[in-house]
Amino acid sequence: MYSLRTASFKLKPRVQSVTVQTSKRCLNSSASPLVVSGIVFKNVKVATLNLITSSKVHGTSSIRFNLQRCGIINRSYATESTKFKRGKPHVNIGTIGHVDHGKTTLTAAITKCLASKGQAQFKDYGEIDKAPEEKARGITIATAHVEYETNARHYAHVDCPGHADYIKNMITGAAQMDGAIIVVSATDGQMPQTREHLLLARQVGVSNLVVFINKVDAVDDPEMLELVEMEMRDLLTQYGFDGENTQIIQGSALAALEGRDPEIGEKAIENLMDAVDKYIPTPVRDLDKPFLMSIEGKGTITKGAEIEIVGMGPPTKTILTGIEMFHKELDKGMAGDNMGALLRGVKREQIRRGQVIATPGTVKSHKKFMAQLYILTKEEGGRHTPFMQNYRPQMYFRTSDVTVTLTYPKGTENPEEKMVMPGDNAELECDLVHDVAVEPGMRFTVREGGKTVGTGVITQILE
Amino acid sequence: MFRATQKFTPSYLPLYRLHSPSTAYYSTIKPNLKLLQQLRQETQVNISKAKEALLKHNNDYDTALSWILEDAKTSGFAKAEKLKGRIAKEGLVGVALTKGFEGRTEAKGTGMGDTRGAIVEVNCETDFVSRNTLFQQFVTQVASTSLLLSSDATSISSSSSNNSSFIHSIPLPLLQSSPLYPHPSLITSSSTNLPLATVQESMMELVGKLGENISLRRADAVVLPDMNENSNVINDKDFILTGGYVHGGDLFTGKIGGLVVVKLSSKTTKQGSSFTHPSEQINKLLRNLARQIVGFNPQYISENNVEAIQYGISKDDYIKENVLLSQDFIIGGGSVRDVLEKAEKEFGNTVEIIDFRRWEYGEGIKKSAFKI
Repeated sequence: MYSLRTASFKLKPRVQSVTVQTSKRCLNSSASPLVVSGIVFKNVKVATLNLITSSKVHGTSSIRFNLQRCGIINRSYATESTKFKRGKPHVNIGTIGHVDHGKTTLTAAITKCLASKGQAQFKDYGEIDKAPEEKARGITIATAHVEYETNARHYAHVDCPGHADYIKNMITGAAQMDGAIIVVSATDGQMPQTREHLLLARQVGVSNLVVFINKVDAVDDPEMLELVEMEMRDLLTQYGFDGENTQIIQGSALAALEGRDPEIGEKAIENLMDAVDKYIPTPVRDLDKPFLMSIEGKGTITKGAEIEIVGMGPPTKTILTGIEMFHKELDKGMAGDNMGALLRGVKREQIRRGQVIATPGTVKSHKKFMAQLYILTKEEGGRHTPFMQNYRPQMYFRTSDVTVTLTYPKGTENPEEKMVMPGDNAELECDLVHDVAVEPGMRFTVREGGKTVGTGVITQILE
Repeated sequence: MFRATQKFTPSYLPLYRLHSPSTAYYSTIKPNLKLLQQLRQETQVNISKAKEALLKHNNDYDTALSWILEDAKTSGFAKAEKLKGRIAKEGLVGVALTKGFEGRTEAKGTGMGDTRGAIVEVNCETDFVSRNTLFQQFVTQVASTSLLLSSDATSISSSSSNNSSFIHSIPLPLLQSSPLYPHPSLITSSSTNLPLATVQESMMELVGKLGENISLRRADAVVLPDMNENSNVINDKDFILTGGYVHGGDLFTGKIGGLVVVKLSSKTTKQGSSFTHPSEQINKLLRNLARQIVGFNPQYISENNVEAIQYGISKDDYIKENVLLSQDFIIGGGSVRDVLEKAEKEFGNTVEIIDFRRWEYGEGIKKSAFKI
């Protein structure tokens, strides 16, 4: 995650300059075909906002398209980044477990074992234990980051002190988890709060877990280990995971860290990482997804392809007659490009900010969905007071802002009695005043009177 | 990979023989795994403890169970001793309210009476634990216990010097040594005649189960004034009513809790005739006032209570933000004062806010470098 973020920051000035150039060009060629442009990359909301702002400032006649996602930052920019090699697939994982069950020791042990192969930099317990408070989209989150790789994949590993931190990471996208390692001590077995650990995994959208039973050297009865494992499988099943087939590895993180008892030490860590490699699937990255371009896009598109303009009314089909990037014509546009798109027979008045162009049939626009939101505290620049059901702020997606009505999900008891306070995480039903092309996993911010009051991620489409 | 290839069956038991020389005692009997699992489910103790219980009692479930319940206090205490240095800045605020009216004798016959409430804070180390039902139930029970304790005004108000306030703090040693009141959802069950553990003992037991430092930080409750002593504050036509609200948790516990105490006075001289309005309306108002306090965090009830305003801050802004009566009411209808005036007309009584509390879990606890 580190390197990705660094790369993005380096990008920022360039993105801005591109915007200016594009705007000028657009002013000069105000005739049809319409030119739309945008850039596509991941985790760079800051740049997105800048883009929108500058297009306003320059009063351009074009429509700016923001790109939110893309897996291929490296295509034209990665030369600047020194360490991060894009060869292996990237996966984000996290460790979840009781305070005394050895999460931090395990994380340290993983880096130690992989460091011996040159696949990680060793981080000792103390370095990981102090989860630094950092800011993501203005929100304070305590997260320890570790980076390493196996033969198969590259990993960003996060470790947070609490439930709220993992949720904030999910909402902001600062440290998304594609999978998780649940750590349980063999001496205690699962604890009452292990349920809360599994519920968290559910809530942040992790459906693939690997369990590490730690401290096996402190238990001299193999049947006890069997029982810990069996109980864990039952609990996993009870909470909707595949308990039967979940990989459960036994070992001692401390042994691995201290370089003793390789059978339960280093070997166990190897087994664990093998299981993680095999059983936590590599998520589908944006490059492989169907083409979508808004103010930022994803996927790949070829000149001459049929596309659809989606959002704010029924979709319209047209042909992409040309792609331009940095004043040069391209045959193919890929996620990550800041490209201008030439659309056949489309008048400027037909295009509005907030629409997207996409491969026909791949994206639908919606008005109603569920989202997980974090409401910023006063200290984070958010509201000072709570809000009630039917609060109507502006919701910002990609480049568009739409008025939204926020309500409690159906089935909530006494919704009129409840409130959402600054600092809260809340799952709310969002009802937009007009339809926008949205999909689960998409992030947005919620603003009111020019102030960001919250940020969120779409969890489920309703209508 | 050590993955189990087959599911556990009881016949699987005698397969292992231990070679550990240290525990000849253990190698003679084996714990019955099925009973072990059952014990874990029933008591939530850790696996080592459950095993010890079965080994000590020859796999007899009932004696092992009672041993665990007995041992929980001592082993929980030992665990708590070990953990007590760790910072517990997470936790919950619990609020309990009396269900029905508690009448002073004069109020009988009017169908009205007083209501009281209590508010407590219990801390733990992570929000995983504060979201767990065992912890939530415990906090609810501590709040109920505080409420019960405060019905006997003499034990509490004597320790508090301020006579004009209605919410008093309960001395923690008193609360800790009191029997823990059963959880509301469990009161009807037959287990109520069991001897009750004290708050402290139950807390130690919980530390044993959850493995985190847990501490009882504070407890306050509404104490009804003694009629003879405080006749200037309250007379026999007044009622003291309490509203409560918790935010961000279950019914009784949450991240922030609030209590509000309101005095309802009859305007008419004819006794009993004025309290004919439905009590739901009053209850709703009380709850909304408590919610107002939780949501808008007032510092004072009225302008008269404001002591000093920091230099450079507009007085009007400050009052609108920090004075309860001047704040905009949470569900509209003008300021809190406007809403109360409207309610007075509706009820035909004067409605006066006389005290409140607002507690947020962990507030003021120093966040030093914390552990993951």
